[in-house]
This record gives sequence, C-alpha cells and structure tokens, in this order.
Amino acid sequence: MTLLTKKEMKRMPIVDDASEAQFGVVAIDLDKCNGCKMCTIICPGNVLEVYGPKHDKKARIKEGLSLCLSCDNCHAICEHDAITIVQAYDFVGRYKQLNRGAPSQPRLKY
Amino acid sequence: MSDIAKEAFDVKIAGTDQQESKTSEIEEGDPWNTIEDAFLKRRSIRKFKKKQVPAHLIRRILEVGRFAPSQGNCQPWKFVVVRDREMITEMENFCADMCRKINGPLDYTAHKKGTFARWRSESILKLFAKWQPSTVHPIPFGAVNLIAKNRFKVFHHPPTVIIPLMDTRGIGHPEVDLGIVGTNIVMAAHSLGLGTCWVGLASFLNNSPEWRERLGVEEPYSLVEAISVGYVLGKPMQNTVSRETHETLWIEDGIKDLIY
Ligand SMILES: Cc1cc2nc3c(=O)[nH]c(=O)nc-3n(C[C@H](O)[C@H](O)[C@H](O)COP(=O)(O)O)c2cc1C
Ligand code: SF4
Ligand code: SF4
Repeated sequence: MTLLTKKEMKRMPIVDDASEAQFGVVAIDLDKCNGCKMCTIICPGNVLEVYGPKHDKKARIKEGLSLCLSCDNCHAICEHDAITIVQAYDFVGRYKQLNRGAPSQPRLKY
Repeated sequence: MSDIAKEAFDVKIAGTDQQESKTSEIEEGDPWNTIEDAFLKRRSIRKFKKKQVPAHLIRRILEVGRFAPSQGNCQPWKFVVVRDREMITEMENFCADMCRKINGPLDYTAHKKGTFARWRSESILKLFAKWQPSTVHPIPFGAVNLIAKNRFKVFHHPPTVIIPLMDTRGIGHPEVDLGIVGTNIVMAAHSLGLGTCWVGLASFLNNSPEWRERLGVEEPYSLVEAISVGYVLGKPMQNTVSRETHETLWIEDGIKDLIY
C-alpha cells in the first residue's frame, strides 16, 4: 500500500494557506463558558483568548492564523465542559495524516 | 536453596499468583485502575505556581527514573537538575533568542503572498526542510514562531527543570531509552500531584558551548530534552482529553485485520 508518493514526501505545506494546512478546530459553548481563562493559560497553540463586554467575557478563538495542535487540553481543564475539539489538524504533502480514525475519549468497550 | 531463600521464593510465587488472578478478574468495560487512570489524566503543564518543590521529592522522582528499562540495561543517561530561578530564566531567554534567530529568515507568513520577501523566505524554508524536515513540521514551526513573537514560552517558568542527558554511546537507540526515563520521571511526578512539561525546544542549549559548560554537558553526552516540574495551577487533570484512534494492524490465526 502506498501511503505517500515520493513527490508528496518532499512537499512542505504552506501553513497560512487553508487548502494546504488545516489546523485543529475547537468549539466553544458560550452559554457554558464563564470566562475563567484557564484554557487560554494552558493552550500550547496560543489559540484562545477571553474577551467580550464587561460581565460577559467568554473564551474565543483569536483572529489570524490558528496554530491549534488539537491536543484537547482546553477541554480537559475546563470545569464547565464548555470547549471541545471538533477537528484534528491535517496538512497536505509530507505531513499528511495517515491511518487515523476519529478522536475519541478513552474507551472501555470495543 | 537455603530455607530463608526458599521461603522468599515461595512468597514471591504466591505474590505472582495473586497478581495473575487479579488480571483475569478484570472484564471488558470495567473501570480504569489507578495506574491506567494516572496515565490517562496526565497533562503537559504550562503554568506553574512559584513555590519550589522540596528537594526530597525531586530525589524521589529521580529514583523512579533510574529504574527505567533500557537496551541491554545500558542506562544511557545522566541527570542535571536546575533549581535556580535566575538560571532557568536565562535558559528561557537563550532558547527564545534562538527561536527569534531561526524564525526571522524562515517565517514566510510575515510577508504578503506574491512579494519577493515571501518568495525568499519560502525558498530558505524549503532548503532548510531538506536538511531537517521534522523541525519545520507546521507544529514546531508554529511554536518557534509564537515564541519569537513572545506569545509562548519555552520552559513555562517552572521552579525546577530536570534534564536527562543522553549518553550517545547507548546501545541501539538511546533516544528511546531517554524517552522511557522521561516517562518514568513524568509519571512519578504526576503521582505526587506535581505537573510536568516535556521541553523539546531545550535542545537549543546543546549547541551552545556556554550552556554545555554551565550545565555540565560533556562528550559523549547530549542534551536532547528537558522536563519542567512544579506545582500545578488549576485542575488540568480533572478530565481526560480525546485523542485520535490510530489504525492498528491485528494479526491473529493467520488473519490480518485492521482495528481502530
Ligand atoms: C518529546 C516531547 C517534547 C515536547 N516538547 C514540548 C515543548 O518544547 N514545548 C511544549 O510546550 N510542549 C512540549 N511537549 C508537550 C506536547 O506538546 C504535549 O505532550 C502534547 O500537546 C499532548 O498534550 P498532553 O501532554 O497535555 O497530553 C513535548 C512533548 C514531548 C513528548
Ligand atoms: S476554561 Fe472553560 S469556562 Fe474557562 S474560559 Fe475556557 S472555555 Fe470558558
Ligand atoms: S486543542 Fe490544544 S491547541 Fe487547540 S485550542 Fe485547545 S488547548 Fe489550544
């Protein structure tokens, strides 16, 4: 089974081109978020920030290039279950994801 | 066999039996045990409390590290522990500076598409990629970029940094052994309620004669990773993350199956 062609193996994705680099995507439930900022503190991709009108500050995805590595740490730390990863990162060329199924929590039944 | 030795042997066997019967009692769907749960709830910690971790806890963690398996039991490691905040800040500044130096010429995202500057840095990056492709994987490339812009940290200001140096003469693949030692260290710390973060970017220190001298990194040792250790802020270990379900090739009874 060929998984990557030789040409693909040599091709570096352009990170600010959405057709070549898809970074992770998280969804924030604004009704559940209380703006505690914990997710912004631990996010390794510096993807999140908390802003909005006074008394209603919520976590949001920053403007510009998102560097989310779909680690889901924001979900793990959120005490209000307000944030989850909805899409894992993927790139074209050399760093295309191979042999992966959908993200899942630890499983006990197979 | 002397009586005492025989008695010890019998006790050992009894212990093994007990463990085996425990394993068979576990059924599909049973909850995770303490050790499994510890692995599932470990997180990389990137915000630490200022408070220093008592020296005896770090010693205790190193003891667990020391008992990691390694190829041919060659134990290709040696530890460096840094507990001076000023020195950790200097290490941080040095690595961040290296990120800035690398990011400058390589960061094509800083230039508009179609311009000469853009074309030039994309070309430099492609050349660099031929030499060290994994370094310019979009994720570490992104991290270096964020650090260069002061939007991310290298060590995350921990009170203690543990650096397992790799003896490059290790048998086979000493990098693997170093990863195992690190896992022992990380899990021992986690079991004590401490937070850790692997710091791959610390390897910049390995190429600096000044830092090699300051950290006692001499031939045949190499600094490949560091581990930040400290008290955790918030409750990063309350939930487990979701991770991708990788394809697994399952071979049994001569049949190859793919499971996820
Ligand atoms: C060898 C290694 C090196 C790493 N280097 C860094 C690093 O330089 N900076 C960082 O913030 N995280 C680093 N990490 C942490 C990973 O980003 C982290 O493990 C991953 O995002 C999954 O998150 P989790 O550890 O919280 O489950 C490293 C991890 C490993 C195993
Ligand atoms: S951790 Fe949860 S509640 Fe806190 S800001 Fe982030 S999403 Fe909102
Ligand atoms: S999944 Fe990881 S990188 Fe992405 S927003 Fe959450 S914490 Fe940040």
